[in-house]
Amino acid sequence: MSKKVLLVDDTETVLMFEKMMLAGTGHQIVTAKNGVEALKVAEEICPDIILLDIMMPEMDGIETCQRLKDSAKTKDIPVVMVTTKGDPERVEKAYSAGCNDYLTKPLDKLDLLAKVRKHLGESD
Amino acid sequence: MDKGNHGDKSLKVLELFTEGKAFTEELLKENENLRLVVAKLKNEKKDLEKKYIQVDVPRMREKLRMHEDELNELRKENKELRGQFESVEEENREFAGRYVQVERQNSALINLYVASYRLHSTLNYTEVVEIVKEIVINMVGSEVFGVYVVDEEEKEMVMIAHEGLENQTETKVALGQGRIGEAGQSGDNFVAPAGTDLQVRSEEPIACISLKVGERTMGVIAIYQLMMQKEGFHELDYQLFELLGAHAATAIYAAKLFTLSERKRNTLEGFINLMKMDTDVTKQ
Repeated sequence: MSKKVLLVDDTETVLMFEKMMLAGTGHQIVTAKNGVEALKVAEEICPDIILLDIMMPEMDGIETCQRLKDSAKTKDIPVVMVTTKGDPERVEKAYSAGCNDYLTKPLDKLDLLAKVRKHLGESD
Repeated sequence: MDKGNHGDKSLKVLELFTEGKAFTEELLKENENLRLVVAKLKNEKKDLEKKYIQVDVPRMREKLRMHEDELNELRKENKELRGQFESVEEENREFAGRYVQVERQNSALINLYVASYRLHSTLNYTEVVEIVKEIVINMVGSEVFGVYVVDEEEKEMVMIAHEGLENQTETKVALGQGRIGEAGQSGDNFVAPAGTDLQVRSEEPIACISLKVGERTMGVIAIYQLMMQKEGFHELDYQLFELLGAHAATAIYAAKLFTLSERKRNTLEGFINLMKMDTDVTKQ
């Protein structure tokens, strides 16, 4: 069954890359270029999963994740953080903000698909 | 008196004799019964022996042989099925391996396609440089790097963009000097030998990718450090280096030419407009 996947990243290259990786899954892909836009889109469409970049201008991924988890409407949506810097401190921060999982860049298609499937409750 | 005593004795003897007779008769009767039982048992034994010899042994042997055959057949079938199962398992493993391989190739192709598509998606010089940075960060996985372009008049290379090099005061490198200068002059790529710690910031670049248009070197991407989760360069990185070497150079060069031509066009248009205005004023 087609699900809604929200991709959030301020770089067009990453968004295009993620979109192409998920192209074969049959899911509906929606994108947002920053945290503020992501919150708005998430409230509107209630995606089944959100892939959220950590480093973004204006509102970073950590704050966006906290806000998503604070909202009654979006708190149950699984959030997978995508980070360029995989240091334990940053990962810890992401989990404290309420994220469900994380991925490090450069992204690997198999890892990305595995995490998306896992949080959408799909079997491999 | 004596007569009376004799009479008692003869009576007792008679009594004893009678008892002995009865006992003997009883023994004889029991003996006969036992004989009958023995005869019956002998008959039964004979019957059983008959049955055992005539029916059971050959039939049982046949049955046993049949069961043994069946068992052997089942064992053979089991062995075949085990073999088939193992072969299917092996095939399954092979397919899983191939699936992973295909997905990795697919992932690599997506990387290359996106990089190439993005590099040629604009003619704006600043945007092209920003896209080069995006590729080096998000696809190569570099944390510290600089993008240099060749200044042919000054015979040097000038840093036009960077990531993590905020404290570097020197933004120019003479052609032929150090790894960057050498890559700029020769047009050859440099990658640090195996065993080098790529996750620690080094003074000299760990990789230099020459940006070339044909045989002409336009610039160099100098990578100083990889992200902590990236342990080394992989096959895909070398493919990306090849792609960046050709496509980033063309994209930067084309954007530069376009910006220059736009500037010239604007100047010319301004000049023509000025001439027109001057002619109009003279006519009046």
